[in-house]
Amino acid sequence: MIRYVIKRILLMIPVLLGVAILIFTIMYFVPGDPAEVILGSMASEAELNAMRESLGLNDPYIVRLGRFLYQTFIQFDFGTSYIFNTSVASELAVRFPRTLFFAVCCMVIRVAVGTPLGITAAVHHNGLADRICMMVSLIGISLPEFWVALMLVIIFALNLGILPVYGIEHWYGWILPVVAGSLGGIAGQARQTRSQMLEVIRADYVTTARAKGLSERAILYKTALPNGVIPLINMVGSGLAQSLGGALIIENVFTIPGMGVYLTTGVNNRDYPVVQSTVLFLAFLFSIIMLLVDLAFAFVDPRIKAQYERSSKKMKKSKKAKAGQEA
Amino acid sequence: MKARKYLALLLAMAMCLSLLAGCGSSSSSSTGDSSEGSASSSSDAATSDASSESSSESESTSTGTARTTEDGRSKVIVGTTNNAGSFDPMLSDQQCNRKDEVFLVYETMVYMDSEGEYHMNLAESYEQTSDNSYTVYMHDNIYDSAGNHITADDVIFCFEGVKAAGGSACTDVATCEKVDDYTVVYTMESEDPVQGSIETCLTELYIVSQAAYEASEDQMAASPVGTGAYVLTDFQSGVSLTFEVNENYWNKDGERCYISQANVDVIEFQIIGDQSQVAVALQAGTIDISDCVASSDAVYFEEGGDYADSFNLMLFPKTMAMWLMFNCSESSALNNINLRKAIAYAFSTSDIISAAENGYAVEISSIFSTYSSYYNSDWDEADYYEYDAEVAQEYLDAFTEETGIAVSDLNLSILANSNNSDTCELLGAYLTVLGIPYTLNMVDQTVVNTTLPDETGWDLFINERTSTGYNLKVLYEYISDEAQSYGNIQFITDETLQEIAYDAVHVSTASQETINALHDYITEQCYIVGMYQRDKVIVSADWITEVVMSSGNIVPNACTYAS
Repeated sequence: MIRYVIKRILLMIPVLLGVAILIFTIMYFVPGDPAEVILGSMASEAELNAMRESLGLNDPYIVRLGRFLYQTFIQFDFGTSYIFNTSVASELAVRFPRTLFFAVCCMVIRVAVGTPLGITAAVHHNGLADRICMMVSLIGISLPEFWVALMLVIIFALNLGILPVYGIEHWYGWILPVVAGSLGGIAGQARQTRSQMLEVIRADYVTTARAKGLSERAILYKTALPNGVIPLINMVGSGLAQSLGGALIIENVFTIPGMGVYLTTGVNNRDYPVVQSTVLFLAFLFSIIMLLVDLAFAFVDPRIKAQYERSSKKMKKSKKAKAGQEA
Repeated sequence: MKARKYLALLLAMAMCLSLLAGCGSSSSSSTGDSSEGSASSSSDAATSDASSESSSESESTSTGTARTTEDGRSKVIVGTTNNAGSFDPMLSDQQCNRKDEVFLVYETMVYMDSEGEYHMNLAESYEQTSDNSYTVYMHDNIYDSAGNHITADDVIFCFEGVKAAGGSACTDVATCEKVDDYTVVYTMESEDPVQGSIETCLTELYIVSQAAYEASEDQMAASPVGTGAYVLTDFQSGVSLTFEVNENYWNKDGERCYISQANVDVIEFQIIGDQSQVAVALQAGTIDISDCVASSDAVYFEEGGDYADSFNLMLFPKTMAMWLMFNCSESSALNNINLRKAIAYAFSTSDIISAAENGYAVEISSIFSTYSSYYNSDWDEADYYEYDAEVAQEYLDAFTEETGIAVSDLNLSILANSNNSDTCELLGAYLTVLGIPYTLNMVDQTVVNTTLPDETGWDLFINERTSTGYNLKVLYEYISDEAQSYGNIQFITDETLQEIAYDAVHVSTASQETINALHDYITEQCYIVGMYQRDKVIVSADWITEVVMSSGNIVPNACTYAS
């Protein structure tokens, strides 16, 4: 198992390298001149050239790429924002915890609300509860996030006055953004859970369990759910990753200075260090999350864990056999 | 099957009903006449509207009393969508996305108000001492908030720092030299500089202490130390900025420049990510004043609106003027004056204002904004491309006859960005009425700057630019052949234009007569058509009795607050 983890971590390196080269190349070819953004559209050609020279933008592609890769992977320096002249790493260090907190809260609510909703729907398949749950999830998926956010602000902040309009200075400032950000995910989680549970509760081993006389509750939570939860873990992981990188709308509406807004501002301003470093950081996070998801699979499903252990045992056996032969 | 139909119908009804939850109550429709209630153009200090006699029920949340801190100090919260990134004085305001909050901590030698009048600030006076040099005499008692004495050495340090950083403030100034501890001489790059060049330097170069700047760990990015009337006490990037009165302000007991007033103890700028949230924040009482209210939300605060009783709404024309610019290169059909004039007469500016700006704009009759000191009110009386479909058709026919190009063979490219997309779409609609095919090329601002130098990349461009006060730099940079390596932005090859423009904008020849000649020539040749100036919608709580604006931005420290 440890070997598997180390292997996955090592595999992250070429992945991150690939992402770095890709994002650098994309930004290289995207039209727009950072020097013009910095100096304004009325700057003279001489001033623009001087700025480009100082930023290293006049160098050939390969030189710039090499400099970027060396700076990022050897020096671990994310660079300085062209626009604000502040360290990208320090900005990310401040913004990441906010985005992470938001993403984790959304994930928790998604799972806490969406999973029971899906189970209820599956258990009462084709019944009234099923239809209500699915209607709720359909509404959740259909409503645009931006609209939901603004409606929540109008109802709870403006009309009722019980929550703030925007800002995260206090803990209750997180309520509206998290609710708005998790609604769509709840719907998706519910639908996926329902679909998985329907598959599982029709399985032979569930029939066997019923025949043995186990209670419905025990059948549901001890037999069916553990088997149905594996794809849901994948969904939770990808949902968390998506929230980390795609919370722009919620961050904008509720003025949460997180990574989404930072990345978008960087793209609009052609702030190459910000875009490249933030995307790379997000790629790193995604890789870690996927690794954790795979480890969670192994934890939940003994078959997968056995598979990992089997493969490492096989490797040990073959090494011993080789050593024996050589001897 | 039936059940599904009913379910779908129910869902559709639910969505429609919930849409209505966010709608406001009825109010008087916004009119196209935005001059009513707009700030007086003769004074910076605009008195805000008194509470209206609204017949609709008010749902105001304003308390009617001024805001205070816990310890009883006066406070105002300003809502802004502008996220200032850094207070480094060596970087330009544009680069750092700063607006007038920077004037709370930093000061310049001279300050220019919205009327284009200059006010001495750190400088006692300045004078032109030769054709291209200006001597500036500073006050001798200037100290920053950390107690550092400001002298000519600091001015030179700041000048050289800005030059090294490539800032636009000192572009046209070659050197800054010390005469004595409180006197410096600026020498211009050109023997005959553009009118407003020295003023650009004097009004945009922030003066800080060299010792304080060098002692700062982050080049004053988040910890500015300046000579201003306020001190930045809290800076949360992307969230808020809090300024408190500088108790050691060097000119505390003297006659202050209006930008350095201190009518309130604490000013907090709260950054609001989405413009639609600004109105909600005002209504909820989270903020007290904002100049970032969307024009579509102004209806709530207008006379008859839900919040008219508790808030004051003010319309203040922006300093920027919207220009319709034509690509006059050989690659574009708009090289022909008849086609340009056909387009100029083909659209109604007032209708565009009503549709694209919700009525919140003022028509202009020149490329000069009303804030330009050279704006001539006679221009408003003259014919300036008033909408006339028949005249437009005549010019179009003349174009076809002259060039042999059928109108249907044209395909004009309109370069648009998020700032002017509605206006460009309406312009396109007018072109369609005229029978001219067009393509709307929607790009972001960065790509606009890259596309403009390409003479095949665009034909029409609506630009929001300004030349305020006596400063004619911006205007000259658009029409001068010297501005870009490829000529001027519109690829106009016209020696007469260059001669007239030179006389109009350079210090040695600039006068109202030469400006009139430039206006007349540009109008006659239809190189640029001035369309309108957008109104800024400013909403303030009713306990803010007088709102002061400068360069189109609120000056919260100079406003008047009820006690």
